This record gives sequence, structure tokens and C-alpha cells, in this order.
Amino acid sequence: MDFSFSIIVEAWPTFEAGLITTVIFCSVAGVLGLALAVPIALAQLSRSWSWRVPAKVLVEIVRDTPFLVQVFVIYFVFPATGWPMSSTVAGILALTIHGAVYFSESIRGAILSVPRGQVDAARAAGMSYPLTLRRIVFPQMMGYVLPPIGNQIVGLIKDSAVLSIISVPELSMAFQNVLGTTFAAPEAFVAVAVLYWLLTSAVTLAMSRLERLTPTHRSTQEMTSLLARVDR
Amino acid sequence: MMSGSMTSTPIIRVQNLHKWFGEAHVLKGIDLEVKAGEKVCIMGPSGSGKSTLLRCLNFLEEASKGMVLLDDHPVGYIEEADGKRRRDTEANINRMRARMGMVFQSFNLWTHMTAAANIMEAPIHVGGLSRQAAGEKALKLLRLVGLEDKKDAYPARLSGGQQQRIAIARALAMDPEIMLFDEPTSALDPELVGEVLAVMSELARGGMTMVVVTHDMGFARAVADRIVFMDHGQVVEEAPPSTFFEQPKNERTIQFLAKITSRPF
Repeated sequence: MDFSFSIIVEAWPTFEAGLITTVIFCSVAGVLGLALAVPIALAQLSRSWSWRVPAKVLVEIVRDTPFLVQVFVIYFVFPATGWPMSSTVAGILALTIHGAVYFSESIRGAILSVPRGQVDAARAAGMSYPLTLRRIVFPQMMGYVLPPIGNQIVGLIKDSAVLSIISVPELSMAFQNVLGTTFAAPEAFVAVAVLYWLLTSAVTLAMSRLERLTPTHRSTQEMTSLLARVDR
Repeated sequence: MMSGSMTSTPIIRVQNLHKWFGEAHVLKGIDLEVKAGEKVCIMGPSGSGKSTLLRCLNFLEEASKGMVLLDDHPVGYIEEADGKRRRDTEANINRMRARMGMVFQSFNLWTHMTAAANIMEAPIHVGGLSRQAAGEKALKLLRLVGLEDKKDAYPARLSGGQQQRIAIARALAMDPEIMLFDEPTSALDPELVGEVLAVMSELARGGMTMVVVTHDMGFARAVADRIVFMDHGQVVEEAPPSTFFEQPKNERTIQFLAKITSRPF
């Protein structure tokens, strides 16, 4: 079997365009998803039914149906009810909702992992709930929230391949186009796999850099160095 | 901060307070008054509702029935004309809480902040103090609890006794009218108890109004004006320490005192 790099080089413009589209879609959906995830998580933790129930329903619907089906519903069903939908809007919307729900579950878990006493101390000092979240809970949960969020961003990138179904010109779509025009299966497969891998590795690397900056990590390090000294 | 003379006006009044956790009836109609400058120790077996009562005082726990009054204002609720109560605004509840300092059994220092930052947090973000003014105040309080040299230390680097002294300084930072202590020495190694009690005694001498849930008989005897003994969600005996320890009247008090004074080791 011949493996020809020149095929990849020739098809590079197609791959590049696909890669850029994937990065744009995932970045926009990632940022919007994270922004939506915080209120969804807080709504789920709310004392009030009127916040909790809708958030729970949304989370369950999104978690319990395949992403492919969600994409179809948004792209084909919404226009039928009078909302025109381009593949770009549908793709970003589907990816955003999907991301928001999974992010929100991680954020909810991280908020719950901050010991109750930390919140008690803040409330007892007269701090409001929003202030307690901003000053006490969010900084402390960073160490718990970044690892799962990193995994979910990687998941989001991989899931974005599904958007080729509604002809978003992203990386897997580019791969199918290259395959269709050159019939060079091994080269196209290797190229698309390596590109996805590079993308997700970059995210993983960035997230672990970020983790090192979190207070939880810092105080764990302090503990570790302290224990090391005690051992000696 | 230090009111000095003891007056006869109750700063805190608890009226027929009830608390249910699901089926469990943990407070069964508590009535209690704390006067300005008074030091009240709440004692009793575990599960008697002491901590729950303390947490109801600053509305960390919402009572199911009854009232807590701070200077004659209901804590957490507004009384309507028709006698029904409704939840007070968050802003009012937070203002009430800021008037009461609280010290917890497990210290609960904010782990991502240095000792000084822990003390400065509420004065800056709740009290509206400048960073500099809050810093000066923190230094003064650190000096009061004898930990000036630990101002830049994170809680993980401090001993339990040091953490609790910082926590006391933090609770004092909002110039509270009353301090609530929830078993402040129960989580400490025995050799660290003394340093925390010393700070608390100092505070008591300065005239601070204090409500202390404690098992420490020595402290209660030395500092308390009055001991409130609770069992099964009720106040069963209330007396000055001399009477409480020497001539307890209630059968359950007698049993409790016998248990904690006659340990085999």
C-alpha cells in the first residue's frame, strides 16, 4: 500500500478550511455554552421550584437523547414551526445547548463540592448569596471544575463531527470531500485523525496549564510541600 | 465593639422557637433571652439542639415556628398586619447577620485566602471599607489574637488553634454586637484548646455579648454569667455557673454532669 503525503499536501486547503470551521464552531459554542452553564447550574441548585424544574427538564432532555437527534430536531423541526434555520445557526445552537448542559452538570457538582462550612462562614459574615458565589464558591470550585470541563470541551470537538450531517463544512465534512474527490482513503483518514488529535491535545494542554493557576491547586501544593517537610 | 457595662435590655430574645428537620423535632419551643454584655454558655448532650439553636439566632437555619428577635426586630421575617410572617428581604437578613459574629467548630476559614484576607473580606465587600482601612483593622485584630506574624499564611499552614483564633478575628471584623460560638474548641487537639479559650476570655473581659455552645466546663464556670442546659430540644435548666455545677436541680442535668465529671481517664 502506498502512502502519499503529497495527497495530503494537495488537499490541505480543504482540510484547513474544515479545521478553521471546527475551531470557530467549537469556540463559539464553548464560550456560549459556558456562559449558559452557570445559570443552568444555579437554577438546578435553587430553592425555588420555578427555577429548578425547567433547568432539570432541559438537562434531562439533552442528556438522554443522542446529539445526532438533537441536531436533526433543531435543523429540521424548528424551521417547520416557522423558525428559519441555516446549517450554521442550527449547528452552533445544537453544539451550544449540548455543551451548556454538560458543562452545567460539572459546575453543579463543583459548587456542591465546596464544603458547606465555607458558605456558612460567608453568610454568617453578612455576605449575600451572589457575593458568596463570586468571592468564595467560584474561586474554590475552579480546581474541581476545570478537569471535567476540559474533558467536555474535548468531547464537544469530537461531537462537532456530527454537524457534517447537516452539511456544516467542518473538519469531517472536509475529510469526506477529500475522500470523495481523491479516493485516497488512508491519507485522508490519517490526516483527519491527526488534525482532531492536535486540536484536542491543544485543549488538554491549555486546561492543565489553567488548572495550575487555581487556588485549590495552589493550596494542595502548599499542603504537599508542608507534608514533605514534616516527613523529613 | 466592647460595650463595657452590663445593661438590662435583652439584645437577643428567642420566643417559642421550634425546628423540624423532616420528622425530627429538634427544637421544641425554646425561650431564651440574652442581655447586652452577658455571656451565656449553652451546654447539653450531643443531639440536644444546641448548635441548631445557635444557627437559628443568625438565620443560618430557618426556624419552623417561633421568633428570634435582635433588638426587638424579628430575625429573617417581617410580621404582617394580619399576624402572618413572611421572609425578610435578603439585604435585611444580611445586615442582621453582619451584626452577629459567628465562630464554627470546624473554623471554616476560606481556604483560598490568607489569614489577613479572611479577616478583610467582609469589611471590604460587605462593610464597604477601603482595602487599606480593612488591612489596618485586620492587623489590629491579628494582634488581638496574637497572630500578627501569620497574616500572610494560608489556613492549610496553620494549626487548628491558630485557625480558630483567626476565625475569631474574622468574626470580630464587622464589629458585631454579639458573638456566637459553636463548640469552638471541640475540633482542637487538647494542647491547643487553651490558646483559643484565652482569646475568648479576653473578649469576655472586654464586655462582648457572647453565646457559647461548649462542652468546656472550665470555661463555662469561669466566664459564663449563665448556663443554659438543653436536652432533647428543650431548655431544661438555666442558672448561674455556681448554682448549675454545685446544685443542679433537674434530673437530666445531674445525669449529664455526672457523666462529664466522672470520666475514667
